[in-house]
Amino acid sequence: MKSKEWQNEYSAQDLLVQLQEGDEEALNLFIQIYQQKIFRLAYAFFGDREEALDVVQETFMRVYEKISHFQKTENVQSWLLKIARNICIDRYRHQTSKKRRPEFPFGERNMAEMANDGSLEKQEELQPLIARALEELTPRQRLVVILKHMNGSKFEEIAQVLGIAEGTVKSLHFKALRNLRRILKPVLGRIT
Amino acid sequence: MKGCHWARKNLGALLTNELSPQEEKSLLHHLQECPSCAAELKEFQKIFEALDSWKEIIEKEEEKIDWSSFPWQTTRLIKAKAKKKQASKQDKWPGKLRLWFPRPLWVGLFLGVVIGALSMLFFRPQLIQRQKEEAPFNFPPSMLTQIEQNLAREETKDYLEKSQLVFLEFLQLPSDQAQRFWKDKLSSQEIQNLLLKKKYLNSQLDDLRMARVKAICDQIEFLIYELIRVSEGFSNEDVIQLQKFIQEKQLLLKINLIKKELEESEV
Repeated sequence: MKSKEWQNEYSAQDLLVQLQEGDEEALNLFIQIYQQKIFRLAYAFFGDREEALDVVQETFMRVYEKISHFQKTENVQSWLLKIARNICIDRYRHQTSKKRRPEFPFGERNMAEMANDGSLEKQEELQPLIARALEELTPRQRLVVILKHMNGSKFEEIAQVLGIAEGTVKSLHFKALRNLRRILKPVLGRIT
Repeated sequence: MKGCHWARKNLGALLTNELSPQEEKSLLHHLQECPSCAAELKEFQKIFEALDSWKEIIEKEEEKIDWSSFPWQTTRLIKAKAKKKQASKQDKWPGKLRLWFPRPLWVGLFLGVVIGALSMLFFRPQLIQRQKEEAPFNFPPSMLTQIEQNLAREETKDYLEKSQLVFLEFLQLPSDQAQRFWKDKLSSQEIQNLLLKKKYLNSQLDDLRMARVKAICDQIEFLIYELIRVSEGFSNEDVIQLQKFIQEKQLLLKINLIKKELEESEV
């Protein structure tokens, strides 16, 4: 799938140019190419399927609205992920300003208790904890981790998407991993 | 050799093969020398594994979605939204109204002004009414009385002056002409105006309590009426006697004095 997407990089650019010229069928094809990539990012960010699908739709809506701003020299994927990133952050801020997100149910003590009483014996049981642990990160740290580990983006690409220096991305990644380690420390040792 | 700060920052890049050969070599060398950074790398490897397993979950979730119909649904939604947006541009608010009317701040201010004005009309109507009533006269009542008094004085002075002239004319006439003087005067416009003015002055003099002035005015009026009534049967001698009587009574002088008093506002 990933290689197919990279092969489509040039055609994606052509599709956007066609869309700029008013060919609305091009949008349909463009969505086909990038829908899953955006979903992965949004799902990893929010941990909610419906929310993630809303983000995907909103991202393509914004692509349609802002198609005149796209420049042929721009990297399509970076441009698209930048739009998706903005939508994720906007929605996150909206959610946090309207109501506090539920408290992280697996605090350090809870995780340690779970690890000690043998309730975390399998790798699968760690996965929801990772999703929750990601919620503890700052939005930028979370985006770096998601783009790196879910979308497989390189540091250089992440820097383009976030509009920051590559060195800053590496620092954010390092801090994010350290925070994850701190949060998941009680359970990481128990997993085989 | 580069320090721990650089090494730790690049641990992620080492695990994803994003370092240049030289950077990689340098970092591996550092890890051999620094057990703390090497331990950190091991911890990070565990987290990488955990994140990879999480990725699998997301991919499973991804597979549950019907991606073949999703682009078509999204395109339809986008087109519907674009149509709606275009329709809202051609909405009922014309031109400039569309610019400011939907803005809550402007609407709030506008409603505030309207409600304020209406509540003022409702709760304080007497204020507006009083202002309306008082609008043509902004003078205090004492000033109005003063003005009325002054007007009455002027009217009275005029009446006295004209009466004085009539009597003076009568006194200066030779007896044969003076016999017919009052009869002729009765039909003249001059004496009719004089008598009319007296009627008008009566009420004013009563209101303003100018008793002395009113008394002399009454005497003059009475005298004029009497002279008109009796003058027809007068002989030359009667007329001369009457002229002497008026002179003796110093009627003209009295009129002068009253006039002077009026001018000095001492009445």
